[in-house]
Formats: sequence, C-alpha cells, structure tokens
Amino acid sequence: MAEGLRIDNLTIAFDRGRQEAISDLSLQVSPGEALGLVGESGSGKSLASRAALGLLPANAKVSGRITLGDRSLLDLSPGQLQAIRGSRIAMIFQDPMSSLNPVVRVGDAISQVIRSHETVSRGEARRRAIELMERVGIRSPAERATSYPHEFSGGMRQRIMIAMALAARPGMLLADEPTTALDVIVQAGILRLLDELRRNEGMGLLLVSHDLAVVASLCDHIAVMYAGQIVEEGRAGDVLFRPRMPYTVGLLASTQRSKSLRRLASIPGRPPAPGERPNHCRFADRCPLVTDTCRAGPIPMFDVGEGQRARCVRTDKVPSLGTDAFVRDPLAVDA
Amino acid sequence: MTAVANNVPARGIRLPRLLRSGSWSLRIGVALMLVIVLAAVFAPWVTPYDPVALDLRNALKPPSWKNLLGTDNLGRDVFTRVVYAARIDLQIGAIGVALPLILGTMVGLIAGYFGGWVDSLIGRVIDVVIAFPFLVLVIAIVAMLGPGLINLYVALTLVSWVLYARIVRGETLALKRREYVLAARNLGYGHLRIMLRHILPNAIPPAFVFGMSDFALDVQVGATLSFFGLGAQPPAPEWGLMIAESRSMLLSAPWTVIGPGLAIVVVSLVISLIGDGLADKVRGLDG
Amino acid sequence: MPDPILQTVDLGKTYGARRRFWQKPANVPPALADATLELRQGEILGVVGESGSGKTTLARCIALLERPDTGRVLFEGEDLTKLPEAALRRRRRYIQTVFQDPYSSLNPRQRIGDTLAEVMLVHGLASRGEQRDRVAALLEQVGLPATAAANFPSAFSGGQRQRICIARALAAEPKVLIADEPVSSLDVSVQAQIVNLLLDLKERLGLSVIFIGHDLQLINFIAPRVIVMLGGRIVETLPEGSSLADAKHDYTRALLQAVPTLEKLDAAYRLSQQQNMA
Repeated sequence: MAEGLRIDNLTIAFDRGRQEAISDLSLQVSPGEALGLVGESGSGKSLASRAALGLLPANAKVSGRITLGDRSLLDLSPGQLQAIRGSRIAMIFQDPMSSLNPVVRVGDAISQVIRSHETVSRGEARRRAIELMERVGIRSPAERATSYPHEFSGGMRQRIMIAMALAARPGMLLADEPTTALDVIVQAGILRLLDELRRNEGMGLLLVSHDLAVVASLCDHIAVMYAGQIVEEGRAGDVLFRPRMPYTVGLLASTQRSKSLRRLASIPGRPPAPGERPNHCRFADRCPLVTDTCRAGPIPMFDVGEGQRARCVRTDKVPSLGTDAFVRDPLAVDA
Repeated sequence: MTAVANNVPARGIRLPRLLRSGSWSLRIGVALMLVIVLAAVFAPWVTPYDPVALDLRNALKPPSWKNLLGTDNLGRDVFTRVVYAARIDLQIGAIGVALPLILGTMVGLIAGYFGGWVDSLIGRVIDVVIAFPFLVLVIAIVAMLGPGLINLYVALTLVSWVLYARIVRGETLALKRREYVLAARNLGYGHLRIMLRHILPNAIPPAFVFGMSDFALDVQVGATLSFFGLGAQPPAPEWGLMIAESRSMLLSAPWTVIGPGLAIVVVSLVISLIGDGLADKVRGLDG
Repeated sequence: MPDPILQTVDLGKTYGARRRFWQKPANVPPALADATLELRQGEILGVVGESGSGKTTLARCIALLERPDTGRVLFEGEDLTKLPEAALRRRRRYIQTVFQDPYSSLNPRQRIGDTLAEVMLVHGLASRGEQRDRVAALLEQVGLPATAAANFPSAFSGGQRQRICIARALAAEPKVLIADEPVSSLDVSVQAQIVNLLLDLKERLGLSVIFIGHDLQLINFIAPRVIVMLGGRIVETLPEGSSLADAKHDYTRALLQAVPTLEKLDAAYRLSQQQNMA
C-alpha cells in the first residue's frame, strides 16, 4: 500500500521567474525509507516538501515532476489531491496553531481523520485516537481527548497535530521541522515513534530539518540543501562523517561543542537570497577552498563513490578540511 | 519602513512617496482627493459665479453648458455651490477626525499602558458611550449646545474619541509585551518616553486607517445635521443644507438635489479608496 | 575568588496569583521558586532549562522587568527590589538583556542609529557631538558597517538584528549582560557567529554574563558553571571544571540522554565501518 515519492528536476520560481527558490531538485523516498533534507532557512527545503502536497502559493511558477507511486502530483486537481492527502501522503508542519480547528475537541479531531479514511465505528475510532495520543506522549489521553486546542501548550498542540497526521496511517509522511518547537525529552519520544512507524509499518519519511543530529538519528539517507540546490547527498553516515562538500563540513563544524576550542566554528557571511544567486558555485563566496574553477560556471553533482554525490569541483581536497578552517575572528563576518 | 510610518511623526511632507509606493487604490484615491481639495481652495478660479448672490431671473434652469449642474430656486449655480461647499464639508471631515483621533489616542495609550484601575475606569466610559447610537448622541449634544459648526465639532469629538481610544488601547496592550518595549524598560527609559517614542508610533497606524472611514462618516453626519438645521446655516453652501433646501423640488428640478448628493457619494468613495490603500500598507509593514 | 557582582536570594514569582478576596486561592504552581545564585565578576554563568522551567522568569526578575514576589536581587551588594522607581531606573542600565526573538526586539519605526543614540541620550553617556562616532564604534564592535545606522530594522536579517540588539545593550555600558536564549531562533551557522561575538565582547569588555538556553551542550561549551532548572526550581549546579558526565540529577541525565548528538552517532558509525571491513 505504501508508495514511493519521487521528485525530478523540480524548479520553483517567484516574481515572474526572477527569483528561483528551488533549482533543479531531484530526490526519492522509497517505502520504509527515511530521507533527511537538511538546510538553513531560505535554502528551499520547506518549499520542496510543500510542493509535494500541492501547497504552494498561487504565484509560484513550478516545473519538473513530482510522483507518488504512479500519480503525477503536479497534474492532479485540488479535489484529487485532497483525496490522497491524509492516507497516502500526510504532512506535519512546524506551526501547529493554523492546522487545528479551535472549536473541535482534539479527540474528535483525531477520530474524524480516522473515520474519513476508514469505515470504523465511532467507538473504535475513539479508542484509536486515544491510543495515538498516548503514543505521541500525552499523559492521561482519555481525559485530555475532551479538551479544546487552546487548553494545550504549544508543545502539546504539536503532538496532537502529529497524532492527526498519523491517524490515517499515511504511506508517506512529510515532516517539516516536526520537533523544533518541542523540548528534547518529548522530541526523543516523537522521533522514536516516527522511527517505529517507518520500520514496522513501512511508512516512507521525508524529514525536513536544520538540525543535523535529529536528521542523523532517524534517516538512512541525507540530502543537504544550500541556496535552493541540493549540494550533497548520500548515506547518512557518509554525508555526516565523510562529507565531500565544504558547506556540509562547515555546517557540521558549527555544531561541534568541544571544550578544546575557544570559539564555535562558523561559516562566514550568509547564503545568497533568491535573485542574488550566482550562475556558478553558490557557496563560492563563503568557501575556504574556492578557486577560479568554482566561478567558471554552474557546478554539477559529482559522484564520489557508494552513492554519495557532491556539488563541488574540489571534492578530493575536502577530507583534509578541518573544523579550524571555519573558526575565525567573529568580527570579520556579517550574519 | 514605509511612507505611512514616516508620515506619523510628521517628518516633512512625504506625499509624493506615498503616491509612488502605494497600491493603486491608494494612488487613485490620493490623486482624486488632491483634485477635490484644489478645486475647493481655488473655487473662485474654477467657476465664474458667486455661490451666495441671488439671480432670480435665472432660477431653476436645468443643466446646460452655462450651468453644468443647473441653478437652484434662487438662481444660484448649483455646481458653484457644490464646489464652495467642499470647503466646509472637507473641514467637517478633517476636524471631525483629527480632534477625536488626538483625544482618543491619548486616552487609549494611557489606559493600555498603565492598565489596572485607570484602564477599568476608561473602559467603562468607553462602553457607556458606545452603547448609544452614534448619530442620536451627536444630534442630542448639538441640540443641547445650539446649532453651528463649532458645536458640531465638539459633539463629534465627545462621541467618536471612544472608537479611537478602543483601537489604540488594544494596540498598546499588545505592544506592551513586545520585546523592544521590554528592552526600553530595561534601559531605564521613563514612561513618557516609552509611550511616545516606542508604543505610539506603532499603535497609531490602525487608528489612522480607521480615521479614513470615519472621515466619510463625519462628512455625512455634517450633511445630515445641516439638513436638520443643526449644522451649517443658510445661505452658506453646504451639501446637506443644499439638499434640505431643495428637497421640495426633488421631482420638478432634480438637479438641485443630485449635485450635492453626488458630491457626498464621490467624497465618501475617494476616502474609502485611501482608507483601503492605507490598510494594505499597514498590514504589509509589521511582518 | 572574585566577589559576586550579582546575587539572587530565594527569588520567587507566581503569575496570576493575585486574587480578589472572595476568590479561592488558585492552585497555580510558581513560575520561579527559591532561586538562589551568584554571578561572579567577569564570569559566564550558564542556565539550562526547557520551556516552562522558569529560566525566562528568572532572567526577567533579575533585570526587574518582572517584580519578584519574594526574595532579593543584589547588584554590587545593593538590593534592587527595595529601590524606589526613580533610583531603580538609574541602575537599570548596568544589567542589560538580549532577548530571544530578534524580530520583535527592535522598534520597527526607529532607525538603528536613533535606537543606539537614544540610550546615550537618556543616560547622558555621550554628548550630541560624540553620539555619531559612538554609534559607529558600537556597530563596528558587533561586526556591522557604520552605514547600518541609517536603516530601519526591516533591512536586516535575524542574525544582524541580534547584533544590533547586542549593540543597544552595550550602548548602556552595562556590567551584567543577560542573554535569554539569544540564538535559539537563528540558523545553525549564524548561531555560532553570535555566540562567538558574545564570548569576544565578554572578554574585551570584562562583562559578567548570564547565558540562558535549552541546549545543554551549547551552554556547557560557553559557560564554565552551569545551572539546570526544572519546574521553576534550580535542580543542579554543575561547578567549574566538571563535565556533563558528572551530572548527578536524574533530570540532567535524562536531558543528556534524550539529545541526539553527532558524537553519539559518530561512535555507532565507526563501529559499523569496522564491521564492514572485517
């Protein structure tokens, strides 16, 4: 029943094509697989996952293909999209307030999702709703099921939304920063739940996050986005521990908290905004390894072995790049 | 950073910028308003006739190239009177907005900022005033004070400040919790400085937008009161008064009523165009 | 050991506790209870806690942005909670706060230069003639060009705004800087820039800093001494020279266990690579 999600050459532009938010993005998530899409804000990572659900602003210009199983999602009518949302493909957003109806009790909200996708009795739907609430870490779920959204804290609402997304047993789950608003102990529980669903029920998972460690703990493959492009992809362990793109090295370095360093590593400058992106390597201005070749023209993805690919002409030099390449005088930079 | 924001602390004239950067409704609205204001100010150059002098030989002439909107029962050119009347009616709108805006903003700012019993007290007063129908209250006050424009302004101020106070109070309550206001307190700034420099400029734009719709309402109220003989006094040209004087000729000489009636409609439309445009700008600003 | 520049004694705060005489006492748990800590001259004290742990209430009570219900805040030996309003206002500039959300921390209708100059004006820290130079110097100190002074906040990114907020705090020439989750709404690579900037300024200006956050690893990197908060109380103080592994309280240990870190995964990865080789 689970179907794979595949994105081919997706380009999304705004402002009549002048501002390219995503350029030529391709990725694939098979059933039972977890792909982590990592990037900073503005990298286009959230937009990519929204595109798969047909949730783009009306002024977005889209080209490329997004397929779920054998359906081309970009060609579906809003009605057809609505029909597959929920059971075949579901999404967890970062902002929980906008997706909960304030006048519906949360238990009923979850039951409604279950009953709209399966023919089960009211009692059965209710029982499963309570079970789901328990699984996302809500204490005394039977009592809390009769509460309204405003009676919950932000973190609790986030968990209820996760329960709703999981209620119809989706074959493919798109999770956009699902745990960013949550405390670490709750986060650990949610991540464990997502991992179980993937392993035991064959759910596909596209996890969008800026947190490398969260992504790493859940995903077997990782794609790193920078300024609208995928710049490195491969098996999680390879990308995280043998990165071949300087940006990935910098991103990893900035998460290190070793007491032997006096300062945190950081990448100088900031990513170019859509519309300011050069026609050559988009990381060139911030890269410690930059050469003239980097500014000669668009850089393709290079194969560096075992399915790992990097958008860099100097992949051979990257392994020698240490954390210290990114530790600099903080006053020399401009965030 | 927009023109609206910069207009509020009165840092020179930014109108051309407002026209350049605003939406279409704002640009058209401001341009038309400018035409109306200029026509009112330069009325003697716009039309050759005198708005008050009688000319009984030419009474009740239908519209023609000589008299664009015809003449009334005393032979006065209706178009001329409509143009001259704009001086009074626009003044009613402007003063009828400015005075309550100033009073209401001050009261709302104080209520929202200090909270506690001050806020409770002001809140009760606002509730009581809002409980009465607007027009009834204005008419009652003018009737008490006696007819005339000054008393009309007093009545409008006494009644509509509550609307501005309510808007500004709500904004102030929200802004008070903003971190930049906390930072201002943390920096040891005085209450007056925090209220005037940090809260007021951010609380007033919504009141300003509301003021635009209030402007149109005030013009209509002014016309209504003059119609009842409580506002402008004859022979002064005023749209409401003109309609009142000519109402018996509505069927025999409809142009005498259509002229001033149309003027009220057009000004209301133009003002609401500006109001819409400003509302868009305010919304786009606080992101 | 240097004298503490700032101390709190049994600081407590309960929200919504005020009630009318006919109402039953509501059973509201305190947002902050019995908080006793000391900040030494020139040190960075870390405070770690999750949402609802009372860490922000602690920050606001120390800066007297909230009136604590109980306890004292001693700054250079003087109890700030006992000071009358006017006297407190003059002292406020010595304890400055950098807030969490850089997007609501700046007045949207005030130019950056005016924001910084206003601080000097109110406290008489610079004459009109000196203000321009001082503004430029402050901006340079936080890594921004002097031309930033002419712009409104909307022209800047989150990281840049946080730099401006730091400059505004520095304009008051403070002795204590409270950084209340100053990087948690910023991107990873920008976070590092701001943390480094704070570390640098602390060293150069001899500031004493209270750095508050939810990321135990980050706080532990920044601060030699770390306080752990839970449910409005301080549950553990990790002394200078100790490592996270020495944490004794169950909650601290649970926190450590729950955070996914690359180090943990690194070990697992190396293991799997070795198995592949064999």
